[in-house]
Amino acid sequence: MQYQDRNNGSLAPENAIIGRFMNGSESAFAELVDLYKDRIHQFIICVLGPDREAEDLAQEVFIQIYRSLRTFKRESSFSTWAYAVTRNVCRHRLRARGREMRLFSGGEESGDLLKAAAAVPGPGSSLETKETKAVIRAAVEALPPIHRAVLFLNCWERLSYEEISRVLDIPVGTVRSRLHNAMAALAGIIKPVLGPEK
Amino acid sequence: MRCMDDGNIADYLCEELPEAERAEVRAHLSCCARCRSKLETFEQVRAAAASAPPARVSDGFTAGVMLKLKEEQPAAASDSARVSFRALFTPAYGLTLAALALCLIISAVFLKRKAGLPRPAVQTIFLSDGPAAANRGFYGTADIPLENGVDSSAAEPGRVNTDACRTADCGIL
Repeated sequence: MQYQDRNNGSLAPENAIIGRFMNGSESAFAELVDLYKDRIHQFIICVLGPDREAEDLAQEVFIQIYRSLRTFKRESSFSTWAYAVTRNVCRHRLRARGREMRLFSGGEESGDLLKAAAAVPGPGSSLETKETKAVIRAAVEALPPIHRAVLFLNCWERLSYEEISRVLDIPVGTVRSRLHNAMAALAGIIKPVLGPEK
Repeated sequence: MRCMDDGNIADYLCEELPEAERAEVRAHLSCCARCRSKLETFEQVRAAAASAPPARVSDGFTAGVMLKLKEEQPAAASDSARVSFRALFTPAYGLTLAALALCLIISAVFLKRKAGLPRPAVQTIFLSDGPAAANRGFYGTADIPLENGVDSSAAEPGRVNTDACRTADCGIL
């Protein structure tokens, strides 16, 4: 199965942009925002769920990135660092809202996953059809935030377990178990949609 | 190798297994239809999760961020000025200021004391190149006349009286 590789196997394009920003180019930062805005926005939605403030938060994230980009030491990839900044902004927002931070620190996993699996629609024919994609998207959205975030970072961003653990500030073992649970729950949804086993 | 659990399959798919274990899994998959089927399902899950593009932000998002940054910059500049004033009260600056103040106080006390000390007595040196009325003790006090009861010939502190001086004082030279 083929899916888009974000970096096309080459050096990440943001490296050159960051270099120009470090040399004082303000327009380079606008390019960086353009490159990452949808991804950061999606990650916020993964963490917080569909949220009308997601875009405001994404702006806040970029302002934080702008303020601290000069201290970015390139020990990790820019995306890992940017997602960690995003996680912190989401954390602060959740705290400000007075919600428990169970999202990042544990919580009831299997119960929510069962709920997600229960949202299985009728059978489809293939992964490529519009209906199937909508079903899968709905199933992903029905997952608890902790699983959505891990799934997004692993499947979309192709981050390793180690990188995800740094982004979400959780142990690698927790990343592994959350990813397995999320994939197993989604597999339970996808199987009937795709029909009988080959 | 025994059949793989979901965790092993996901690790294999995400390339999180060391090469030796990957080879084992590959060998197992080549002869186990059940694990192959599981792997295919997981591949589909991963592809499905990756197939949905990220939720797009509205147009003008980037311009909005850049505008906010521009608005923030003057505020940030005044903040930094405030911080530098506040820095004077940080422990490092406070200690330096205290040390400086102490030095000033010590210097002031020292200078004041030095200024108030009685001057050491100045000894008048009498040198003689001949008889002179001012050279008391050389000829004896009886030689020196008193003017209005005051010894006018009393040598000024630090002054070296010689006969020539005395003569000059007398108006001879």
